Amino acid sequence: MSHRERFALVWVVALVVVLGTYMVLVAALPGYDGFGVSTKIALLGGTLGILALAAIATQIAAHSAADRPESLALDERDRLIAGRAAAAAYHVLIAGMIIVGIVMPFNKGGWEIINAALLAIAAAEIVHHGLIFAAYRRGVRA
Amino acid sequence: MPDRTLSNNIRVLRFMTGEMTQADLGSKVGVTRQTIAAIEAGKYSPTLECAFRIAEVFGKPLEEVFSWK
Repeated sequence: MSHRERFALVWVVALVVVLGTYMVLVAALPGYDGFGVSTKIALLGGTLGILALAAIATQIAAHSAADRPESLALDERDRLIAGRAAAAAYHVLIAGMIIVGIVMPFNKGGWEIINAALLAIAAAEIVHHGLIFAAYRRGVRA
Repeated sequence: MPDRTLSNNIRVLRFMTGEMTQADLGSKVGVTRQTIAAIEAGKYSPTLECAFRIAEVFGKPLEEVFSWK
């Protein structure tokens, strides 16, 4: 398994676990709506902090396990896979941003919009890295 | 249109050139070992430029390395 494949897998798992936990907490925590702004910011900041640490740790582990330094450079297959995954993720992200930025402001506000935006970004990231992992696993045709 | 697939003799040609490793071939062609492994396994169709480079490494014409059946 190449380090890019490994990073994509670990990053998708980290996103699902960490942001999934945050979203479940937001949706199910009794009295979340009554929390103060600082509490909500702390909860969100903690979640993003854990994700940042997971990303850094995963990158370091993936790079140290790379079998040759030159394999860290992108070749034509890596660029093809990255380009296709980014194109698909773009559509997910743009759909999410239309909902968050154009539809939701008419009937929602504040933290609901923030959390929906976070969900849209997470969905795009999961699609992006999920497709990268799948392409390395199953192969890709030009 | 009937489905045709790109196949290759890279594994055989590596064997015939002193069991050249995938990493060695990759470094000569300018791609990673994983990409050579994916090409060999039929999981990735290389660009025309990469295909010509691979053929050049083995000193063979393109059609002796790759075939489309």
